Amino acid sequence: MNNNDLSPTRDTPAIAADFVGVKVALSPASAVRGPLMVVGVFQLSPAQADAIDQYPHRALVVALASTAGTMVTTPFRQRVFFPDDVQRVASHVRGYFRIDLVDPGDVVPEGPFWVTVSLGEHLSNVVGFAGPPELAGVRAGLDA
Amino acid sequence: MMTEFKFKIDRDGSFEPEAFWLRHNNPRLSTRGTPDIISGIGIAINAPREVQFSEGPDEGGSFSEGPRRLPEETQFIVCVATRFVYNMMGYESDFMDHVFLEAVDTRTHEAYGASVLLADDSDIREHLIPPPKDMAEPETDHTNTTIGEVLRANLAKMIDLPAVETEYIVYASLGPYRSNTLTVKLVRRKPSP
Repeated sequence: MNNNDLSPTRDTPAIAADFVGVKVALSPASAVRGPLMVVGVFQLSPAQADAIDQYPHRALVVALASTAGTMVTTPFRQRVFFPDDVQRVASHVRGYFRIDLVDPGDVVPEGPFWVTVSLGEHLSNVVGFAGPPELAGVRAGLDA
Repeated sequence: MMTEFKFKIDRDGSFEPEAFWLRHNNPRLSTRGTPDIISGIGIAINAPREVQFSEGPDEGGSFSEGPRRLPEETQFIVCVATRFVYNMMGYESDFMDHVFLEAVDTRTHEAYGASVLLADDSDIREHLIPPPKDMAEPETDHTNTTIGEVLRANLAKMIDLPAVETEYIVYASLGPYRSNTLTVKLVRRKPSP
């Protein structure tokens, strides 16, 4: 069984030892063609993790937003997990994940797109991929 | 420097629409449950801690169809307030129509989402009076104007949620912006003795 999507990659964001929540990054950061992935890590206290699920990956919700709307999906909801798919690090429960957004060779669609991952009440940082130059004004508006 | 986004909500207050019918029928006017944005730009939501639903004796689901849907009469109210800089994301002053509400069942982890456009089932827009054709173009520079909008949405009307007792984590989003998250318990109304 391939569990590569539950392992950290070189682009997986680093977290502090006492971090609580979800942190994500795009891998690679600005691709024109796939693969394009969201890579991330969550870290919770054992009580927080147990309140969500024995395997918190199942509760990860990905929201992909664009100017045209938003889609939500739960990529690991019906997955079978094993005890070593999550790590007990000191007093925390930690899990890594990788979610494919664009398959290898496929063209990355014109953005802007914004991706967040939530786990229970924890919302991740927002990562995005930029669109073509004509949307520069849109991005400027976001920075205002 | 960007001002920190601050808001106030009262989850234990009333989420009823105002009795005055003009306000009662317009989900885009503030009610007692509407979040009060104090500073900054962003999205805030407010919802009751518990939502009750009822189902008739002959309205059970089936094995093949799964559990029956939450009745539309259920008041799964989420009050949304937004404040953004004019034309952010190219939306001019119309941000609320693009807000997306997400509800995640904490028991099954199933995620549901819907545009708040579905929340506005009023006929208010049909009665809009257009501005006169000879009205002068405004000369005001709105580049730095902040626009605030509110909406009272009923998730039971917007999303086909199953009529089962559970708990939802609810939040709203618009592009890169996310609201606060709230947990709402969905409980079956006990029949009166």
